[in-house]
Amino acid sequence: MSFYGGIHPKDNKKSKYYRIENIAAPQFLYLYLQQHTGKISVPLVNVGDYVLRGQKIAEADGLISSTLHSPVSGKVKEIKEIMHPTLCKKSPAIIIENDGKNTSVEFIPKYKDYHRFPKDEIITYIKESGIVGLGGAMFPTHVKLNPPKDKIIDYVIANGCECEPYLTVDDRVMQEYYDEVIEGLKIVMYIVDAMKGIVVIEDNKKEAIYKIKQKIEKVPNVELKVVKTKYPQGAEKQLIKSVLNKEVPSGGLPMDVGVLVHNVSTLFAIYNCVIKGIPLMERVITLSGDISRIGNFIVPIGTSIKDIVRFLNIDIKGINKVIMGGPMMGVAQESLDVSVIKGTSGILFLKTNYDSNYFQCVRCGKCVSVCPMRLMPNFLSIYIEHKKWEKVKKYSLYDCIECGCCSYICIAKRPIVAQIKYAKEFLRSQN
Amino acid sequence: MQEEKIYLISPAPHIRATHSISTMMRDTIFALVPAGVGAVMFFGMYALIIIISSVIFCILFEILVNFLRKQKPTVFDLSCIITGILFAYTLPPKIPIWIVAVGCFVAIVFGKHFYGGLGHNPFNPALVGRAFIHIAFPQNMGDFSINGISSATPLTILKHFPQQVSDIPSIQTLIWGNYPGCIGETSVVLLLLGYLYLVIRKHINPFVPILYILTVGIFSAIIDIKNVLIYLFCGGIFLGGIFMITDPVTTPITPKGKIIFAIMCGLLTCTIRFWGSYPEGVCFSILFMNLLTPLIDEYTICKKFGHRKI
Repeated sequence: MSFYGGIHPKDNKKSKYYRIENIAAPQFLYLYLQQHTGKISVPLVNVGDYVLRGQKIAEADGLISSTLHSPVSGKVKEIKEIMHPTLCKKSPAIIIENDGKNTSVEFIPKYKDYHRFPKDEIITYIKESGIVGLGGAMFPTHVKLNPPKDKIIDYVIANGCECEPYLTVDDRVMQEYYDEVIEGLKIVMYIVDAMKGIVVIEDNKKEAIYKIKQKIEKVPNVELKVVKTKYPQGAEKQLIKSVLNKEVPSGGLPMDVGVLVHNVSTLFAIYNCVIKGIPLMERVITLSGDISRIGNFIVPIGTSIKDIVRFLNIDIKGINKVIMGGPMMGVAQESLDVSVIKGTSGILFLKTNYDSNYFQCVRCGKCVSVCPMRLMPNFLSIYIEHKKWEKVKKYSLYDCIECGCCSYICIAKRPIVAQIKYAKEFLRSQN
Repeated sequence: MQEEKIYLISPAPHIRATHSISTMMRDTIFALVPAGVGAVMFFGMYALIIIISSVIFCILFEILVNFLRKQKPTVFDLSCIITGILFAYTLPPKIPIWIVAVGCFVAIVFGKHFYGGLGHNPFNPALVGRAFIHIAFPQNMGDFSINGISSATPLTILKHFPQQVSDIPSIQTLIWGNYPGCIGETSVVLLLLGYLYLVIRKHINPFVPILYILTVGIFSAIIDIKNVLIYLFCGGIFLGGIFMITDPVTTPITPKGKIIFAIMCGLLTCTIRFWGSYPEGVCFSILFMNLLTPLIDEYTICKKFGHRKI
């Protein structure tokens, strides 16, 4: 069972043998108010306020928005606009000066026996804990957990594919926190009344498969599915196609076919929030690339790359590219002055060069044969270049999931997916 | 200090496959080498002169056009060299060099650059050149005599002199390639070596040539079961099937389109062979199907993910 297209890049998952380590909180933390898809959060603190670890410092604005918590105790130093790692523009952030005392608010595991509480209450609690999709899309989890009444969720899929090369976060989380992940899956299944939970892992993660398999033997209604290693196996729509052979309709959501997909790291965060009462303040990231100190680390949200480099003594001589996220969909950073956000799954330090020259399309058709959405990236690219927007729409611009397979495979080295992102942005600004 | 350094910004993805246009063209040239060696073996050193002069003329015309169009030199994408080699392979062994030059001019200037260069040409440039000199100099193009003894290609014998069928060499000879024909197309074995190389390097869809050859085989078997192997192993079936209907630029993009293209080419080739006035139909069938490529693409667009009606 698989989906159409896809590519097989070298996986480079060198860091998968490194246990998850802790990174101490730095002196200054930069917490962006936009750490999720949707409306920007509203700050609850003022400059000069003293905040505790785990204290809510920003409130969700509306339904599709999320809250934010301070990962350290200290003083709010400033609220100003700084460079955002994924929006690639300046965005407001709360800067907290760490006092090093780590004075914490009391985390009350109020919903430990979640079965005894109404679902709405747990969903509200998850919203208050600021949990968003940790796979990279950062969609607020509480919205996903609260589908319209007419949508019935049959399956909850725990996405442990992690198809991006280099990244090993989900792999490590499944190996070390399998109990928590499965418990998180059960919580989600309880909330949405799903009849079945499926953990999906790519077949290159043998250790994780082994651990999860042992764990779920005695768990009813949860099963394990091992899928082929292929990029983008972890993309929601492709995953559902691979596992359940269902196609999410164009413009629709997985809930339209009765499925809910959550990343395993998100499930781990849901576990921490519901069972332990700890809001989302830190996450596991992978550090990898052409550096000697690679590994997986628990990092407080808001730690800047510079502080991580300094703390771990990473030798960045010769590194000319720093990527937040995976090499296929991650964002290249101009400087080290950006911070980890909730959706950061890894930081890659690469020695590479990029040739921005590209050639005319020679119609080899490779992009068509790898596009997991079965689009015609070559025509999209050409029509975008010629600004023929009607044609661009006809070739289903909005169905593109921006996985980057077309750009990866293109022999003329055309930046197809970048053109598609540009077109989407351009057409949005037109309306 | 290191910290002030500005890092490289580029759009995702940050890793790329290693293939590029020039590696694809280079591999195609490598794949064409065995057939060239065969040409020299079977037809003597003059075949080598034809091939080399054809390549040189193509490069010269490419540079000339680059100069006239005031564009950056495009020689390094190596596509003009492939045009030169493919064009030379479709010529008879005694063709005068000045005709080669005319053909190269038509191929590069009319076949490729009039439409905007690599990627925009609707027709296979080598075949445009070949078709032009085929019509302009039929006398020279029909001359397959070796060492002063006039001889006809097996396909000409089958079409025009059926009483001389016994003159056609054995099937083993046809597969090996030592018989009158165009210099690069006679040896099935050596062309298949090129096919294997291209398939291993993943430059062509392995099924397209097979489909084309199968279509020709089945069609020929229906019409003339006795001589089906001669129809298959003679003429440009293998050269066209392996190197021309897999040309990326002039053939459909969609997987379904490629299949339709191959089958239609096979049918047309046989139609021209059996009922047309020429004994060989590979060149014209492919040119004609090139014309239909945009149409085929338009009607074979893959069904997009999630557009299926539930």
